[in-house]
Amino acid sequence: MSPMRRNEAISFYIWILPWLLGFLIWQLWPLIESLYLGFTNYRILNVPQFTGLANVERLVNDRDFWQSLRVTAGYVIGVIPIGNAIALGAAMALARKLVGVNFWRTIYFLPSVVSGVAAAVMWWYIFNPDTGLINSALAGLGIKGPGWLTDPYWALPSVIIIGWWSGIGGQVVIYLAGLKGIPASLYEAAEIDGAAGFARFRYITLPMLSPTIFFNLITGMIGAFQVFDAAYAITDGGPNKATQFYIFNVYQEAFIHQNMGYASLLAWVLFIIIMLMTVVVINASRSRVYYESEV
Amino acid sequence: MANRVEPIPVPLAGAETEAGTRKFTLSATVRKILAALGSYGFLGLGAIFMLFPVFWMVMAATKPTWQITAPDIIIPSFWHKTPGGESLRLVNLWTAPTEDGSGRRDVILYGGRRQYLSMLDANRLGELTPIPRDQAGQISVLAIDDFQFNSLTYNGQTYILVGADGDNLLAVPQNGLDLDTAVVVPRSVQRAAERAEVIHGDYPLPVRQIEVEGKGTLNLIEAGPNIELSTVLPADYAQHAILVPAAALTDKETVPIGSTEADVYTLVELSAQAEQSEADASNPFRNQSASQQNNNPFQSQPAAEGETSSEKYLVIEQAEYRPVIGIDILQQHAMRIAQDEFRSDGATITTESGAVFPVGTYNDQNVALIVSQEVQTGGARNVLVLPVEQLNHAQLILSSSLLEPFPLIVDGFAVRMKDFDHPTVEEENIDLSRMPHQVAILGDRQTMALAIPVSVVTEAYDVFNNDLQRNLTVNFMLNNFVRAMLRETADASFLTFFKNSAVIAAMNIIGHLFSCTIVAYAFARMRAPGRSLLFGIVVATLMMPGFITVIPVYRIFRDLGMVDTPWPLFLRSFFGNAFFIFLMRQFFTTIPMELEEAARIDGANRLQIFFRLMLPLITPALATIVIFTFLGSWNDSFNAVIYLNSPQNYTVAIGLRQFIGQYQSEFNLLMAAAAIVMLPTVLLFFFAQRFFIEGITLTGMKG
Repeated sequence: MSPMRRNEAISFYIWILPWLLGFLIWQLWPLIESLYLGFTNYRILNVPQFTGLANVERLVNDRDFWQSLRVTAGYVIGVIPIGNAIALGAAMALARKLVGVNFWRTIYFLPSVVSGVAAAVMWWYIFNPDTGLINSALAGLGIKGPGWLTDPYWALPSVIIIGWWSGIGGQVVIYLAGLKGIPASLYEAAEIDGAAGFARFRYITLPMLSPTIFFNLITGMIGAFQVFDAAYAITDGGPNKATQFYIFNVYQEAFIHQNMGYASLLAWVLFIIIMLMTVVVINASRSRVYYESEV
Repeated sequence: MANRVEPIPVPLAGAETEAGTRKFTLSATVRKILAALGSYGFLGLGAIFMLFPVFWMVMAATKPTWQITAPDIIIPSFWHKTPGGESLRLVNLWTAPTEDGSGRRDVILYGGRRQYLSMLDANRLGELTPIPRDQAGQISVLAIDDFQFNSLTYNGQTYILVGADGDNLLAVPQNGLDLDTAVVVPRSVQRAAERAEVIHGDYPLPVRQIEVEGKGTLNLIEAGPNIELSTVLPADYAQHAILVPAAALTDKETVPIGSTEADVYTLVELSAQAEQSEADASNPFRNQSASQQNNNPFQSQPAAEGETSSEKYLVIEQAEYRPVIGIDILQQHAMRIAQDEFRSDGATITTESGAVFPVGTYNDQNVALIVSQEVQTGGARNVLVLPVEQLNHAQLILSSSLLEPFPLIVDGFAVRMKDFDHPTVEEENIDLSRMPHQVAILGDRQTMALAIPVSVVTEAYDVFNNDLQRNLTVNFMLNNFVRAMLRETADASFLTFFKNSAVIAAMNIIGHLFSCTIVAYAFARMRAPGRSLLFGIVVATLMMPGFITVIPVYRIFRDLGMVDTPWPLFLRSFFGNAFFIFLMRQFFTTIPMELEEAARIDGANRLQIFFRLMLPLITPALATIVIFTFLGSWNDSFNAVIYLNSPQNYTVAIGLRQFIGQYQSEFNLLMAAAAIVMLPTVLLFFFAQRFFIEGITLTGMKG
């Protein structure tokens, strides 16, 4: 290595030092440590002691854990596929060269920039059983609305609606960009071949957009698994643990009940679930996602 | 993406579908228009979903509290009020038709609602028609003159329903009805009246025996729905109102007033020695010994000796009140003295409100004992006294309008007081212009009644509730936002939370700008072994969810003693952020190498090149960092929840959460607070929309 190259290499490592240190201190080491803590009885003030599989045993029998897993899975299923379908529909409508695309896009995107806690508080009032917007409107139609966030059956759907509200805008923007990337010539060719309407969507839009859809599904899923604000701000996991989301449960175990060791295990379990889900989605979509560069 | 036509399988299979649709041949133009309309409809629905919650929140944030429970009022309105005499209470104004029905006027409500119903004389009903229940159809209300009857249509004729017999309804034809046999009866009278039965033809009819003026006792049968009426008084009567202890109003009787009737009371002077007073009932004005001292400020006007004993009062409303006094009066005039300096013969003084204080003398001055308290150091008992004439300044205010009292030390004594600088919403019912800003609470809760002397009431009448409307004008209460900002939440106000959030966001921005640019530049332009591996790690950490490291990181910050400080919320920014490093590297690589080389030939070193040449070239990327860092930092609740414990350190996210807990009932302030928390990011979005869209698009396109 020439001295000049060596100098450059040294400066490279000096320049990236902040990130390198940060990665080691705030990411790599905590990642390993949290795996270890997951098998200890760590409770903030004590020295963590390795307890073997005790935490795993506890996990298997922990109703809160299973409940939080169920609830979070329900949330992910409610928010991601349906939310993406709505967002794709809106993006396709926007892509039709309508008047005021920017105006619509602004409206759709606006909720995405809003604080999650503030949004949850706002929706709390919208969902208020007596004076909220929804039940007032339903009462106007002569329908007695449910208790929404106060009803164990409706609480999760309510939070899913909040999830749509704050999530769709970002997806619309990404889909819109993806749609703009589809060459118009494809559609023209399709028209010559006599394909129109749904066929165009099925055989051009969908394949060409598949990387974008795939991206939105994965990132949306990772985000949705970590839903926290609504449970923290307004439902407190209730009613009857109907919104005991996974990360909220981890937060409660770690910082309310101070079972940090056990909470570390919980975090790792979610981490593994997310990784598995990502692999599953990648595999499932491998045959269906069409990357232009592959041809 | 390249602009080339790809041989993707545009299917001929689609032709089948095509053939199917072709059957309903629509011209291409019509189809396009329909599709556009459909698109607009879909987008419009979505836009309503996105915007209406925000609209509803802003409307709620600008409403007075009472409208929060009245969702029929969508646009915030202000309720007109009129002073209730000399009291601080404001009385709600309503509008109602004038008594002769010629127009509308402002009125105040008297008491509760009254129910009436129309009845018919069972002995003069005429022929009863049985109508099979299943053919009766809808029963509706038929109004004739002052009467309202239950009516139904049968065989094309209108009937008035008077009863039922088995499967038949019993009714009389409307055209055969003699209105002279109809009477409007108060529900209470009807309920109290004697029951009887009149056999009419084949049918037994349940009737009530009610005495009707000028007609004697009639057997009346129910023939109409319940009609709710409210008794109203002209608005200007409110100025004659006096505030009296509810317990001082006795001898309730119902008397005709105006064109209606109302409950009236006699006012008696309440005594501190209530038990004795029972024995002494012949003299209703038992003045305590304090009044003998000749400067009792609490001789309430109506109780002036003898002359008002015959006056009756109408009660317009009752509520809990508390006696208070301006804190400045207390600070200037209250004296702390040893208890044995307070000479008293056990006399007491009763304020207008009925609050009782021991009175005595101190240095030849008449004083009232306000607080008595053990002084810890000496063990002797000290008292806080106030010259009796200063009690003149005492006032009664609605206890619901008092904020949580907090102690203030006056001459070493803790006095419960409240602060009026940030009025609560209930104070909409109080004339604040006449209130001291801060008051000390002088006594216990008292149920007080706002009463009007009957002698001024020459006009009072009943109106249908449907005709009664709140006297409102549209008014967006923008000061709710100010009040939400200033309202103390657990020792700190939103102003503090805002400042904390802003400082943390600023530090995060500085940290990211510093760390991400230099790291990204190194990854983009410096060659070194291991570079691609390390950059691979950067990309890999992009996918790593933050929660997995939360507990060990918390451990580190705890060891550093940084829990409950803002440090954990921004320190990590100075170590870079995978997403921004990735983003910046893409930007740096788009800058032509030649520029840099030219600069190097001119003798610039790496730092100079970086700061003078590269940074200015990537300003848009820097803007993206600033915007997204601000967004992430401002909206981050998880880290704030974990690390911050004391209210002085809270960020807006947790501040808002606290606000929910403490001010659940004041949805308007809560919504104002939520709107304030949303505002900075929304404003930023509007001013820098391009960067938002570009940033989001960029992340999406890398997938």
